[in-house]
Amino acid sequence: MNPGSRTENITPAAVVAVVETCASGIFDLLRGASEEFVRELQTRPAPRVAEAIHQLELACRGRLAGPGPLTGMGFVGAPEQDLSEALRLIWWIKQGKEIRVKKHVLNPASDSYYDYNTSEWFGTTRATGRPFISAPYVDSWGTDQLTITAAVPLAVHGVFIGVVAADLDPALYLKPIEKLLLRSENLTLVDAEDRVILSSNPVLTSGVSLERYLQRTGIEPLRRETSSSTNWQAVELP
Amino acid sequence: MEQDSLQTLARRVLFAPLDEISRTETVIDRLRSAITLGVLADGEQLPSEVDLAKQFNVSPVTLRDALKVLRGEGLVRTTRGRQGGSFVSDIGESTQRHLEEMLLELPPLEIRDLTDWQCAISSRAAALAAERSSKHSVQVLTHLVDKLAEADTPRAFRRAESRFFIELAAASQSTRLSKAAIRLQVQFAPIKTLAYRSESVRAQAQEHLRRIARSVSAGDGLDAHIDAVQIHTLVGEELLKIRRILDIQRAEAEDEPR
Repeated sequence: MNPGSRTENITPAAVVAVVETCASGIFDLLRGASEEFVRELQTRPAPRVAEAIHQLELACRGRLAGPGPLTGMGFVGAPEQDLSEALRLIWWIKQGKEIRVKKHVLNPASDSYYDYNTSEWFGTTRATGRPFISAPYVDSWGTDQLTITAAVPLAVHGVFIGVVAADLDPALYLKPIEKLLLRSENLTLVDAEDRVILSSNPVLTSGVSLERYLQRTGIEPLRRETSSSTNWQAVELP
Repeated sequence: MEQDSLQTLARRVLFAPLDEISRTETVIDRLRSAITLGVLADGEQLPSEVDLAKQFNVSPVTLRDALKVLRGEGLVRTTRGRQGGSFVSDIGESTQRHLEEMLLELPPLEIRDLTDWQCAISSRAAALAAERSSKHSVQVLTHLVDKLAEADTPRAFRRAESRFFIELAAASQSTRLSKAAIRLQVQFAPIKTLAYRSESVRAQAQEHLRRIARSVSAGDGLDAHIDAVQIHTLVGEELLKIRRILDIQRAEAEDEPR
């Protein structure tokens, strides 16, 4: 079969450019959503916690209501931040047209204890002090849904207090990149661990190790281009 | 976010009300199974809506909803008038266009997931069949492989392949594996017809099935396991390739200036 007549010579750099655009779009959105929240927490002499939470709720609800890839959004506090117990974890999710608060179990003795400290998006954002976006991963409590989580660090008076983060529907979030790859024959987008995110090779599905595929087939990549804000790489194969 | 769905999701699924929707789904499922597996033949007339609703112990409205969905899938057609009624129709599988639309509706990761699940079910069934199969089951499997060689259309080939895997699960003597194998064939098998349009895929698949039958007969579970994984991987990858081509064609059609 003829795989389409309109394949073009799309470069890894072109893919990285789209990756950067998508990422900066979501990071800007998260920063925008946290502006008023941080401002209320910076007030002297004491932070206005209730007002901060109110502002965050307005910001998150407003953004979740839009048509984009957001499926959930909120604030996750650093365990040692001493602003308020109310700021440990506040999260809103979109269910159909409805947006509602999501409660999490924060008791370590519970089976469903939610330990965000161990999550990559929290740990990495905290360690690097830079915005972070994960590769697609399977939501581990048996939904068949893949999720991408993005986070930006927040500081109050120069001290890290936590992250504002969002869950994204990978299909919607990756759509612009996917469209680009449909017009190419030999490009693969991988995450920082060289696992496939998207590929123009249909057999290279999400999560497959590109490194092992290259070893097995003896194929040498021609070019690699790294997206600095995500650490994702566009790889051109022969 | 990871890890926390126990609270909301599992509860929502486990305690969902058993309403009319799930009844409709069940009826759709049963009829779809009967048609896809050939229990109801092409062209066969279904009992009247009133009788069928009674048989399933559901309301006529529920049954009508179910038939509507099956009509959409091309599995049933309904005619009006004195001679009217609902008839089984195999148009769903014989029309390449319809199959391609079904394939496009499955995201690539769903195709991969179904392939993984098939590998798991049939490779275990193959290994157990090598230990537990009766002589009769071995004969049936061998006979199905011969039928495969005679299949002259992708669809005939796919049907024989489906029966082979259901028979293989039965030969494993595991009721749960059998049920899972049947469900899988119903969900996934019609689309596999697209992969079997390729002569080379058919030839390779036939070789794998021949070897499974031989390994089961020889009591060699590991070899049977390997061939079962290989045939599903082969078909799954072929479907992913076809889907990408369809995807490109769709994107081009959308780009075309009106």
